[in-house]
Amino acid sequence: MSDILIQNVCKTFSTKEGEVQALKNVNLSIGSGDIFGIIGMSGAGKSTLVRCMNFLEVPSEGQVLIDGKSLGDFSEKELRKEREKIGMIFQHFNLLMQKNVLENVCFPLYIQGKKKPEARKKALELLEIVGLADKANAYPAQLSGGQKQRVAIARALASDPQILLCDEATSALDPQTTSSILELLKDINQKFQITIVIITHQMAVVREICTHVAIMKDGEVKEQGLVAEIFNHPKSQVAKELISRDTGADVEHVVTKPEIQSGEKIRIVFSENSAFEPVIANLVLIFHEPVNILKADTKNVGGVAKGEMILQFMKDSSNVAEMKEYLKEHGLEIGEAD
Amino acid sequence: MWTKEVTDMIIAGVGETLYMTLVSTLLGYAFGLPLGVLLKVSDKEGLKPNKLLYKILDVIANIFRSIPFLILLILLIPLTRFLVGKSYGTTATIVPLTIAAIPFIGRMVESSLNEVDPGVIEAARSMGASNWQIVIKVMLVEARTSLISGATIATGTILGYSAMAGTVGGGGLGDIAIRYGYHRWQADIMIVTVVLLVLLVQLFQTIGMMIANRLDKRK
Repeated sequence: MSDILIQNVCKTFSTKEGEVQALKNVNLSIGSGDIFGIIGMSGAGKSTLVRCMNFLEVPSEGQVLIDGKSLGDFSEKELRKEREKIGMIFQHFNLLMQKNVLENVCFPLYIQGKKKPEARKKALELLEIVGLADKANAYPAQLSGGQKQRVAIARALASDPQILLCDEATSALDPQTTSSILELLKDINQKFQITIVIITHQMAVVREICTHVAIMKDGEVKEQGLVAEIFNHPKSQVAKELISRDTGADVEHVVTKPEIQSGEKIRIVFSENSAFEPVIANLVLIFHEPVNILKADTKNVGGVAKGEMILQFMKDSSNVAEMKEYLKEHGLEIGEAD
Repeated sequence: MWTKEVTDMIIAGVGETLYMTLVSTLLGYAFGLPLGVLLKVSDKEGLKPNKLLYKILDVIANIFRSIPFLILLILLIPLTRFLVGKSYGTTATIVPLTIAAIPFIGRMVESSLNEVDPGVIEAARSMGASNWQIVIKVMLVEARTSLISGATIATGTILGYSAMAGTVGGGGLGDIAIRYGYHRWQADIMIVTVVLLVLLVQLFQTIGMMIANRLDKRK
C-alpha cells in the first residue's frame, strides 16, 4: 500500500525543433490501494507523467512524493532501491527475448542479489498466480501477446511492489485478452493491496477497472476524480469528448455473464421514419410480455442516422413470431443477433 | 616439388595462421568489447551520456580504422619491438593485428548493442537495475546472437590481415603464399595456401553462424 503525490510537475524536452513542454504544472493525488486511470490521446503527456512516478524521467520542476518521501531527494542508489517497490509493465511487454519465462520473472530478484533457488521458487509462485506455470520453460517468442503481458506482470510483482505502473499495458492486445488482463490486475489490486496506475487511451479500460481517473490533454490534467462521478458529470470539454467517443461496448468478457433470460435474440434497425414512434413500448403493451434490451446504439451509415438495438425475448415465449411480425409492420428491419 | 618439407611447411603455416588469428581476436575482444560498451554507454542516447568521452573514443577508433593495415604494421614496429622483443615472426605479428582489430571490434560491438530493444533496457531500469547490471545482464545477453556473428566476421577479417603480415615476414599461410607464389613464381604452392585460407574462413564462418543460431531464442 502506497500513495503517490504529484506536485506542480513540469517536464520540458529540448528537441531540434526547440523546447517541448510535455507536462505543464501537473498535480495529482493517488491514494493507497486505488486503481487510478490516466487517460488522454497520444501526445497528451501521460507516458511522461507515469515515468515521473519512478523517475525514469526526472521532472524539470515540481515534486513526486511516494508515501510522503520525495523521489528527488534520493541518491541514485536509494532511488534504485525505491524502484524495487514500484513495478512497471509496458505496451510492448519488454521481456528479455533470449531468456525463458522463468528467468524473466527471476530477473528483478537477481538484480537484488537473490540466489537462484530462492528466486526460482518465488518466480514459480508468481507464474502460478498469472496462470502460466506450465510455460516456465518457454521463450517469449513462443507466447501470445496476452501471455507475454502475464509474464511481465509476474515479473513486475517479483519484488513485492506496493505500486504497479501500467503504461498502455493493454493497447497491443485484442479486446478479449484486454479484458482478461484487466481482470488479473483487479485481482492483484485486491489480493496484494497494490496501488495501480493505468495509462490508457481506451475509455473502456477506465470504465472497466479504475476507481479514479485523471483526464489529460496537451500536458495538463483537465479533470480528475472518481470514475463514476466523471462519467455522470463530465465538466471539461475533453472529458465530454472522451465519453461521447466511448462506444459503450465493453471490452469483451471472457466468462459471459449468465443471461437474465435465455430466449431468442434479434437485432433490429431503426431507420429515420420509424424513430418517432415508441415501437418497443407499444410492443410490450400489446403483448403483455417484457423484452430485454441488451444493447442500443446509433450509427452513422452513409450519412443517415441508424439506430440499432439488440432485443431478447422471454424464454419459451410463444409470441416471438407475432412480435417479430409486429416490428416488421412498423417499419423496422430485423436481423439475427449472434 | 611436393616434398615432405613443403607439406610440413604448409601444415606449420596453417598452425601459425590459426595461432595469430585466434590470439589476436581474443586480445582484440579483451580491449574491443569494453571499447564497444563504452561507446554505446557514453552515446547521447546511452545509459550515461558523456559527449567528451564518446568523441575521444570515436575519433581514436576512426583514426586507427582508416590507417591501412600494411602501414600500421610498419608504424607499430617500435611498439612491437618493445612488447615482443623483435619485429618479425608470428608472435610479433599479433601486436599490430590486435591493435588493428580493437577499433574494428569496438565498432562491431557498438552496433550489436544498438540492436538491443530500448524498451527492455527501460524495463530493467524500472526494476532498479544499475548501469553495470544493465550492461552485463541485459545488453550483452540480448545482443549475444549479433555479437557472435560479429565475432565471426571479425575473425575472418583478422585472418585476412594475418595473411598480409606475410609481406614483412610475419609467418603463416600468407607468408608462404607471398614467398613462393610471388617471389619464386611457384603458383601451385600459392594456390594451395590460398585454398587453405579460403577453407579456414569458411570453417570459422560456419561454426560461428551455427553457434549464433543455436543461441538465438527469438524464434
